[in-house]
Amino acid sequence: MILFRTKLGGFVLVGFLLALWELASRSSGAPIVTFPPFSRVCQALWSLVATGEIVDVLLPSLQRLAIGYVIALAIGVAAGMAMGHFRVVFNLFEPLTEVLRPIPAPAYVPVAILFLGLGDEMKIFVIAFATCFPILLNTFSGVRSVDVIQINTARTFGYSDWAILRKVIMPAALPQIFTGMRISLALSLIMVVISEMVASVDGIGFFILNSERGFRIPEMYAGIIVLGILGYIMNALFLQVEHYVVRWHHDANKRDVS
Amino acid sequence: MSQLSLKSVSRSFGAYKALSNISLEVQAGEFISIVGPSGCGKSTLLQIIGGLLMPSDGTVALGGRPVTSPRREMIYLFQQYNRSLFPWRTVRRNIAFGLERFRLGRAEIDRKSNEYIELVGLEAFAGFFPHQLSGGMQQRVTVARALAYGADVLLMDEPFGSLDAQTRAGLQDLLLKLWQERRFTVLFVTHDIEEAIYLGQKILILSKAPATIQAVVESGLEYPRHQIRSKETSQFLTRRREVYSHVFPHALEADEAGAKAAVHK
Repeated sequence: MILFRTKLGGFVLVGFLLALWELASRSSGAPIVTFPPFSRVCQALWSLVATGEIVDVLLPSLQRLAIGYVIALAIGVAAGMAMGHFRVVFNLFEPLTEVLRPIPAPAYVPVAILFLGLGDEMKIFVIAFATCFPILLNTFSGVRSVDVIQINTARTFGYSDWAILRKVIMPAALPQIFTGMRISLALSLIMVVISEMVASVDGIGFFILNSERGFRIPEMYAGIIVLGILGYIMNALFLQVEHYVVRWHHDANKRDVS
Repeated sequence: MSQLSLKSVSRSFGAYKALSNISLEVQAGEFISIVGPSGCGKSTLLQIIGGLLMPSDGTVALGGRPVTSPRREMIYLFQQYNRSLFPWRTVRRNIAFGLERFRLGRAEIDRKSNEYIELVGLEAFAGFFPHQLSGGMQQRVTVARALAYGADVLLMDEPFGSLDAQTRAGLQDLLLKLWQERRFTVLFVTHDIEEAIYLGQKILILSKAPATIQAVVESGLEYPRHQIRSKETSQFLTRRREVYSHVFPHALEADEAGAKAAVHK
């Protein structure tokens, strides 16, 4: 049946659940303020877009996210490469990362507030700190798993250690670096919302929490849906870039979901 | 003066002695096959010559200068040719890998890469990635890459070992053809005695570990060689027997004892 051979069935299920929401809200007799029907949420979402308010809501969040993510990328890749390539650096920093890594990222938001206050610095720090680890660890393990034959090939062609890092180790580790970057991208969205819910006067996290506090419940749901769409777009864009940059890797390791 | 000169080269790995007191002179343009029982240290010897591994004792000199790291004139071709190609580079860019070290323009690199792609007959595959090629094609890329780099000495470590017989014969003849045209020096490690005789001017036979040079046999076959005719000559068969008797002395003794017993029956 076409419904199950393609993803069509999945979309029908989503539509069905939304219709159920609409119906349940209208027939339950619950106050419309706490349990608005889906159509009300759609209205709120539309007015967000139509008035352009969505830009004011998203822009601060996206700025924090981008800055934090880029910092994490720079530090994570550099530290991961150094740890993977130089034994000394590994011995020095491996225990530290093992101690810091298992702490759930939201737990150091209070610490960041203590030292950095309630402003953007705190949020960017929290995002960068949390998203740094997946990138670092994946870079490290990518560097470690570079084939020694590839390195020796570069050596027989007379390349220096630095050139080997750039011409062999970096591209060879790239697919795994991208894996870390993708995990971190999802994490960065989580962290921006958390940090904005804890302390902020703007951004999507603030918007959702503030809407709830002001009993603007349709707006609250609209904000959550915006987050969902944003996460989806970010991931889709990322996959495009990844596919383009490490195409050779996917082609060489092609596997189909059956 | 010989091009490559080894003086009492030894190498140990901890308590294990892999190579013992190996001395060798190689003239420019020579094709030398190296055989020996498996695990005797053939690859170790080749890596020391290539500057990838340091000897515990003794010296290697190329053109009169001691080899302490990989040298521009020598390229080592790995047994695991598929792992020695870079999967993110196309055939053309893999061949350009060595050239990129020199201060050449993009156009010059492309021109030279294309020249060597043609040399090994891979024009139609220049834009392909290594995983899209057969094993034989992959090995041709590594040969082209070494020659494009301008290497005078090819150190080949069982390069055709894992190829099927037909592809292997094709590559042997391609290598011989290129060698006759360009007269680079080849040190060719193999476990295949017939391949060693078919290709080399000299066959260097190593003993089991700790490896020493047990014998050097001149093949005496004429070039150009032919997969069928060269191997039918009595010269080839005599050499084959000679090399076998060095590599597997006991096998041959047992064989002869068996033959005598059969005669006495």
